[in-house]
Amino acid sequence: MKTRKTALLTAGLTIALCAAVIVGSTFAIFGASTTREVTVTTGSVDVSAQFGDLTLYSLTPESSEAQPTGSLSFGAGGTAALDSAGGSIALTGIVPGDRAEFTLTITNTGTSAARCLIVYESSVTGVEGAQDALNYSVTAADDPDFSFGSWSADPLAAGESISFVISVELDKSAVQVTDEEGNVQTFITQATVAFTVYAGQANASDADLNGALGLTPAP
Amino acid sequence: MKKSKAIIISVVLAVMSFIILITASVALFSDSVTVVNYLQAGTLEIGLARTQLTGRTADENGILQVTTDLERVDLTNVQTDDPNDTVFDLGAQSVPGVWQEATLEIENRGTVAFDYAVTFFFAEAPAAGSAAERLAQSLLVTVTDAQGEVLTEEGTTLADVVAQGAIPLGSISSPNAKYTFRLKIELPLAEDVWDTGTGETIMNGALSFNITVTATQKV
Repeated sequence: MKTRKTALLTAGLTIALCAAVIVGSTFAIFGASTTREVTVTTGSVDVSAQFGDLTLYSLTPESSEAQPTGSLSFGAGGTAALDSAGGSIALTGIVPGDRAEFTLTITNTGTSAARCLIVYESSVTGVEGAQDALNYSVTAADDPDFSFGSWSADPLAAGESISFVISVELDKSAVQVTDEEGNVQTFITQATVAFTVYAGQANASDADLNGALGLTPAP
Repeated sequence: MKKSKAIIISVVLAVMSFIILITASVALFSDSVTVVNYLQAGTLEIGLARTQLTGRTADENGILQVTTDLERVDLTNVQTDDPNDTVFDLGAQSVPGVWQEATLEIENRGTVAFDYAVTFFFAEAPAAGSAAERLAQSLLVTVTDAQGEVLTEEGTTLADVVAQGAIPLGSISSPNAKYTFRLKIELPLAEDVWDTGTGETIMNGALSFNITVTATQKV
């Protein structure tokens, strides 16, 4: 009786082992593979901006064109001062024809090529409408078509710099204003003009960059 | 009773041994024929090569360039340190707008028909909330099979294909047969997103992932 039980158990185990071998063998199919690692590294867009070379111009009796004053004062006593940290220029006591001219150097400190955009915002204390009498201009030797509110055409490579010459002028045709008693009013007591530089990746379109910044395209 | 049984068994065994001896001595003339059944297993071996790499990537100055590389790169063996010995080579300055499409050729170098598939997986899982994780969620992947059918849905990201696992590409039956399929990765320009390099940025992110092509015998 005991022997029969042993025989049955042995037979059962043998069948189970055979089944395991058969099942196991279905996984042993042929296969091959090859693997490659890919690394994606993103660059960065970053710029620094630096003011410099402030030159003041005023009208002279000898010329209808403003001439360099050779100092940090305008011909009629007004002044101009650059605030590099605040990105602005402050003008005080200026008269028609006074012009402040300075450089703004933008350096691409990121690793990707970038295009630049410069916008300004002015805060003027003076007679009514004085703000409209201020003229602004920007020029770049390497980008003659550049203007405020427009993206630079050429990409600025990583590490490269571009210099712009910016001028702020009180239009020489601005008309002096007097009060009701006939007293001459100071046309502009103080004007502060702040400049903001934006940099965007070079391959993006103007529309994409403006859209991302929420800016209205320049007219 | 037991003793007599033992005696009987001993006698029977002695007789049988004697018969065997007699038979052996009689069987002097004999002959035999052996039929050899020859069974040879097939081989499953694949070859993988990149035959074309097209794309728009940043050069060393961060400026995007459109390039086409027609050099054949064998990807069959273990990857070397050669930066070109991979599927994609986006460089180190990727910005939104870069993309590459690799044309890969798979060859049946063995004798066994096989199915093949491509799998993407991270070399190291990106940390939660990291630039690498955001990069994985931004990189778009497109897989196109040998028949030109796009196997990935529009907008499929690297994170998606990693989660998806193996993507079946087709079968190769004949030895030496070759098929080409295409893999594309793209870092798209996101609309109205101004990435300033802070917060949820992908700037200066790095991500490594593996691409494995696996062949499995057809069953």
